[in-house]
This record gives sequence, C-alpha cells and structure tokens, in this order.
Amino acid sequence: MAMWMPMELPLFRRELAELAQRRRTYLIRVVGAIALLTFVGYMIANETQANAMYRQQMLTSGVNVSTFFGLGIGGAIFERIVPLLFLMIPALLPALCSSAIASEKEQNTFGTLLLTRLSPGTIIMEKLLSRIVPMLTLLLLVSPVLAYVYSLGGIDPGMLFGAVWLLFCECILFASLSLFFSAWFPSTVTAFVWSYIGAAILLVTGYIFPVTAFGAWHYQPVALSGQLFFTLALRSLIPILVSLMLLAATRVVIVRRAFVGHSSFLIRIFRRVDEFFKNLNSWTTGGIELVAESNALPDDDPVTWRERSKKSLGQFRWLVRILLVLEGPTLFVCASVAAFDPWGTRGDLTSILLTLLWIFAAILAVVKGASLFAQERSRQTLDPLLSTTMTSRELIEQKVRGTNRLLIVLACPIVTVYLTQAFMHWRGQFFWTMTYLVVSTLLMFVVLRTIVWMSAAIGIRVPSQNKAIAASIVAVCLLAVVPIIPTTVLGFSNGNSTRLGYQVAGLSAPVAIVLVESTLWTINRVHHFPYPTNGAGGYEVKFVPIEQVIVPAILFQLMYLLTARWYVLRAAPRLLNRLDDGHSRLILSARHAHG
Amino acid sequence: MSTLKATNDETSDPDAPVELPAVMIGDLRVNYGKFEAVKGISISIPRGEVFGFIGPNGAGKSTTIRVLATLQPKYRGLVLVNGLDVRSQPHQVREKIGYMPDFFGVYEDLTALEYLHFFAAAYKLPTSRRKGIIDDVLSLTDLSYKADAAVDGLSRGMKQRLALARVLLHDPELLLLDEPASGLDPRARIEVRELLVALKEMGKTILISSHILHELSQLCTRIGIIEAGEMVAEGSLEDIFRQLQLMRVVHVRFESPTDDLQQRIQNIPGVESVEQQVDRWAIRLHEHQMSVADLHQALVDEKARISMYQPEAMDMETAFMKLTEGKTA
Repeated sequence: MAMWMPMELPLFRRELAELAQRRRTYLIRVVGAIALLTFVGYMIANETQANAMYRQQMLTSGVNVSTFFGLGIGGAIFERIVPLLFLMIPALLPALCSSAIASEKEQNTFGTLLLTRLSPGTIIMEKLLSRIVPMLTLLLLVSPVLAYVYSLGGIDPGMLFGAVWLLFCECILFASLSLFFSAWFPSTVTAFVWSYIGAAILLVTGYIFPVTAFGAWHYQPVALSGQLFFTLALRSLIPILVSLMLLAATRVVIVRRAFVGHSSFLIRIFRRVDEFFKNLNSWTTGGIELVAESNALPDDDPVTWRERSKKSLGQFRWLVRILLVLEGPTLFVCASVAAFDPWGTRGDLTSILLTLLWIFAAILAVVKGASLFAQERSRQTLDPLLSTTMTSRELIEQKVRGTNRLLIVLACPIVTVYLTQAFMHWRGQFFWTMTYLVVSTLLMFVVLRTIVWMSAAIGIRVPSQNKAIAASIVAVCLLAVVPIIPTTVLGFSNGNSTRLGYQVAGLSAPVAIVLVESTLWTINRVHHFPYPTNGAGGYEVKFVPIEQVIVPAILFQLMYLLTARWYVLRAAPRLLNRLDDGHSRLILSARHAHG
Repeated sequence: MSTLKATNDETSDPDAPVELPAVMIGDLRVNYGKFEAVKGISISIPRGEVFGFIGPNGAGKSTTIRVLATLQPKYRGLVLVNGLDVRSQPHQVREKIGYMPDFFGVYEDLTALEYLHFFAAAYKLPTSRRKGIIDDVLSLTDLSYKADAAVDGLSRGMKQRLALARVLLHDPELLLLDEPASGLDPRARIEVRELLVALKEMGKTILISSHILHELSQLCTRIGIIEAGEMVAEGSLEDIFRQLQLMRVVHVRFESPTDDLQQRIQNIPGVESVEQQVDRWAIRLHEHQMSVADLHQALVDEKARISMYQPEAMDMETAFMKLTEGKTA
C-alpha cells in the first residue's frame, strides 16, 4: 500500500473547472484588473507628480536637492495601494463565497454531495479553497505593480511580507464568514445579503478595535522588525481565531441545515410578535384595527395588486415595520445632533447617517427592482403571465408601480435627515432652506426610481434572482461612481478654468447627490457652490451661484430616470422575449429595410 | 388585419367563407444561436381537432408550442392561429389561445380564487362577469370546494387543474397544452384526461404535447411525431399505423435453414430486408405488396421449416420507436 496518497480534492477541482468554463470569470478578472491597475497607476502618477513638483519648488527656493531625492516614494505609494487591496477583499469575497453551499442546496445537489465519502469538513475546506483561489489570483495581479513600487524604495521587506500575510488572513476571514452564511441559509440571495451585513459588522469592529487586522490595517502598515513582528503576529491572531471559530460553526451547521426550508428567521419572529399584539389588541380594544389589510380581489391592475398585497415588501403592515425600524434610530440620532451638536463640532453625524440610509435604500430598491421579474422567472410563473392579453408595457409598468409604497417608506428617514439639516442651518433663509428640501427630496425619488427601473431591466434578462441582484448592484455602483472618475481625473490634470466644469459634470453621478445634499447646508449659507482653485494667492475656495450646480444635477438625474424608463418600456417585448404588436412592427420594418 | 382569405372549392357556395384551420404552420424554423431546434415543421390543425404532439425530450415540441403562444419572437416561417399571423398580430392571437406550459406556473402565495381573479383581470375580463366565469371554470375543473384554499397547499393534480381553469378563463378557441400530465400520479392523470375529453366535446381545438403515448392515443384525433426538430410522421392514428405497417417486421425462427435461404427470402417480392439475429430472423416487409399471411405462404413455398412466426404488434409505442431513433437536434 502506498504510504503517500496524493490529495485528489474532487470538489475543489470541480469548482475550479466550473469557474474556468464561465465566461464571466474572465470578464470579472479583466475588468477587475483594468480597474485596479488603472487606479494604482493613477496613484503612482499622482504621487510621482507631487514629488516632482515638491522637488521643483525646493529647487526654485534655492534648496540644494539631491539626485536621489525621488527615491523612497515607494513607501508612500505602497501605503495608498495596500488599503485598496484590503478593501477589495470584503467587497468581493462575500459575493464569491455566499453561493458556495447555498447554491448546491438550491439546485438540490447538496444531499448527493453529503452522501459521498467526502466528509463535511472536507467539503468546507474544499469549498473555502475554491473561493479563495480566484480572490488570490485577482490580488496577484497587483504583484508586478508592487514590485515596481518596491524598486522605488521606502518599503521595508517586512512591510511587504506583512501586507501579503495580512491580506491572506483577511481573505480567510471573510471567506469563512460568507461560507458560514452559505451553510446556514437555504438561498443564495439571503446568504449574499447576510454575508455583506456580516462583513460590514467585521469592518466596523476592526475600526473600533484597531488590534484586529480588518480595518485597522488600512491606516497603519507595519514594518516587520523587532517588536513589530510581535504586532503582526498579534494582528493575525484575532482574524485567524475568528476564522477558525466561523469554520467550526460552519462544520456544526452544514449538515443540520442542509435541507432547511425557505422560512425566514425574521418572518418567524414577526409572526410571533404579530400574534402577541393581535391577542393584546383583542383583549384591550376588542379587535379594532385602524388600518386593516385589504382582502380585496384584483380589479384592473392585477400585477400591482399582487405586488402590494402579497409581497412582504409591498404589504402595509410589513412596510410599517420597516418604517419603524428605520425611522426610530434616525429620529434618535437627528434629535440628539440637533439638541447637543447643532454646529457639527464633532463631525457632521447627520451626513454619515444620510449616507448609510442612502446605501440601505439603494440596496433595498435594487433587491426589489431586480426581483420583480427574476423571481417570476425562477418560479416559472412568468410564461403564463406573458401569454395573457396584457401588453409588455402594461406588465412592466404595473410591476414597477408596485414598488411605490416601498420607495416612500425608504424615503421617510432620508427626508427626516433633510428636515433636521434644514432645521439646523435655517438662519432665517426661507427660500434657500425650502430649495434645499425640495431639491433633495425630488432628487432622492428620482434616483431611487432610476435604481428600480435599472434593476427591473436587469432582472428581466438575468435568469436567476441572485444573479440579477448582483448584476444590478454592480450596475448601480457603476452608474453611481463611474461618472466621477473621469471628471475627477480630468479636473486634477486641467487648469482652473475647467475645474469647475468637471466638478459640475461630476454631479452626473448619483452618488454625488448624496455628497451635494450633505453639503447643501453650506450652500444654503452662502448661496454659492464652493470649489477649490489654485489662484494667485495659492490654494483657495471660490463660489459659483447655486443654480448653476442644482440645475445640472437635477437635469442629469432626470435624464437617467427618463432614459432608463424609456429604454425599458421600448425594449419591453424584447427583454421579456415575447412578441408584441409594436415589437412585431419593429421587426417587420427592420426586415423591409433590409429588403 | 391580415386574416387569410380562403378560397372555396367548386362544390360549395362560392360566397360562404371556408373555415380556416385553427393552426397553420408552414416551414417553421427556430434557432437558438447556431443550434437549430426546429427544422422546417409544417402542420395544419382543423378546428375542433385534438392534435397530439409526440416526441422525445428536446425534439422541439415545446419550442413549437411557444411559437404559437407568441413567446418565441425569433423564428422563420409562417405561423397562423385562426388565420391570424402570430408575428404581426400577437395580441389578437393571445385572445384566441390558452397556453399551459410544461410546469405548473401558479402563484403559491395566492388562494385558488385569487389566482383566477388575478388572471381574469390580466385577461381584462369585464368585472361584472368575472365571478360567474370563475365559478364556471372552478366547477368544470372540480375545484369549487378548494376556491379559498392556498395554492401552495393543493396537490399536484389540483394545481394542474387550476392551471387548466386559468387557461379557460377567457374562453379561448385553441388550447396549447405542453405536457399537461407530466409528473402526475395515475389518478390525477386520469382526471386531467377526462377534463380534456370534456373540453374536446365542448369543441375546443387542442394541441397537446406529451411523451406519454398511451394517453394521447386515447384522446387525439391526429398526431404528429417530431424528432430532432423534424416532423417524422403526421396523420390520424390509423394513417400512421398504416404507414408503418408498410414496413412491418416479422420475426421468424427456422429449423435448420439452408445456406441460401436468406438470399431466396430476400428475392421474394415485397421483402425489403432480411436480418439474421441471434435466435431469429427479422424480415422487413412492404405490407402493401405482400401481406403477412402471404409471406408465410411464400416461406413455406421456399421449403423453409418454420418454428416461430411472429409479426410485430403495432401500437403507439412501437410506432414511436419505429419512427424515432433517439436523436436530438
């Protein structure tokens, strides 16, 4: 008998083979690599340019500068690149890992896998490995850049080793976390959402407790020498321990929850609470209901009716709960800030809250929008609907109309923050305060509605719900951020005369709306939009009339909304893969055109 | 409107319009990328007929039905439903058809009544008539007592009947039923079959696909056998049997056959081929040239000593197996 048996790792091999067969694997890698290398390249160029300018200034002022002045800037560049890599891991790994086990459950293949001779522990390890490898390959893409940066000097070998080691630790940590949720939840979508929630909690924990690798590393790269080796070991210890605990927890639940149904823990809790309050209501008031859930049958808009009366994110009682959950803490924070820190001396907490609420609202809008049709498709209920006499346009419009209530609920806490900011910075200027409120509220609805239309379009085409949500998140992120990148880059590299133009153009990105809203109180105060400029007197801030900022922002966002709506409705039959009278006319006219 | 104008034959009233077929498909071709799923199918189904669409999985049955259901935008060829062009008049076509896909496609979060009201609204039935229509279809599908039950709690057979009830809401003239009995237990299958018989008696034209041959033979007036995207046979059951019997296989066992016997049998007029198998000979016979009884006589005349003479029985399954080779497109 052979003393040494080679490890076969069949699951790991299968996963990698599947990954290799998917076109999107290469697409993600190429796009990821381009984005990463572009960003890194930009940072290197920026740092080198700043260094050259500094050298020039010193030479101009008569200071003797050595030929080797530029050496050592590698350290500064390294300190800017590494945090980016650390941020990439929690951004990407949950998406990669959350489907590892949950998708097997969804496809009913997990039972078969458990019947093989692979032990649950082996399954976990092979799954973990198969998801970490793609992430590491993505990180490896930066190694030539790191080598170049290393050659510029200023980097201790220990720093390099420490970064690589801690990156690896962070990979294991976030992969273990997502794997645990993947083993716990029956659906990929739930595992996906909870993986990101868990990742956010870990990052916040790392922010609060700097001894952990996650989060703290973004600010303090360590050199591996003497006492710092101990620091590195200490930093690795907690993530490794947490990872081991998560893997052990995954081992415990992987079999126990292999065949769990689609019953949500939150829904079970809410049902209990429902029952309790119903009994309490019966006991105290005899069962009086101020707003009873309608039991009416559908009238003219059956699709909207179903979205509103049968879906959790559409039913009145669920929306009230979501509103209470969001509005309670929002009111508390807003009231505290207004009462104790109206001048924002401890940082503008309301702006942070606003950003968080925006992120939450955007995610929920994406989930709802992407699920509108993707859920019908995955549950095989779309074809019967498409064979009815409803037009494709009616179908989509009714579906999107079904999200109105949810958007209003999501808007409430955001409007609360706007009101607080308006109250805090009132100073008797009624017109500007009202302008701020109206513009912010209008833009909020426009952006949320755009997100729903975009996600709905993606959800129609993408076959599975989780893929539709993931694709929609990517699309919304791209829309939110991409317009800022060229405007920022061009704004930095051009003269003062064009800088304002680029900044205003940057408002075309929906994410800029949040930033603008959070600083609009300043505008309220000065009636002008501040922008930095290098004037004769050095770096200073100039102002332009506010309407020159607000009007383009509103126009940009309205354009996005109208374009998205117009495209989806126009392409409705094609997106739904169905013949419509208008659609057929298009086909026929195209055929005539081609003879 | 591009409703076809039919020509009248000489014997009928020249002013009376000839009834158009419920379905007319001419040289239908459907591609999924480079893969050709349907390769030039042509069918004509008169009104009131129950047409059985038989074929192995992946033969192109569902694709053809989806074209008729206006859910397959990319296709080539002519497809008419009651004379209406599916490509240019999909909306009118949808009013004429009731499509049931090969899966339940029911909303689990509704009750049976809500489900039917949902589709009644989707079909834009007048509000005042909805209740009466829904009561009728529930009664027809024997689901009245389950009207307020959640769809989620219905059995598979009930869900299928509910799907049939949904299809009937707008009183379509043509029913497109894709594998309506698949996955059902024998009782549910019989119930669905009885329901289809009732619909047939109501004068509905039905296009039904299945690979359960037995159930189609009891229901269909005509069948079409499709394989690898091509129609390999079409006609009434009798036509197809007759067509197949032209090449009937007779299994024969001989006692001490001589060396030249195979050649001599081959030379008998009407015999297509003779194949020696392990324990028997298989003789393929053109039955219109020579009957099974005449072949027996011819073999006796050839001085062959016959220990077994067994013409292959002809039924739907045999026909299917004979006509198809297990190919996929």
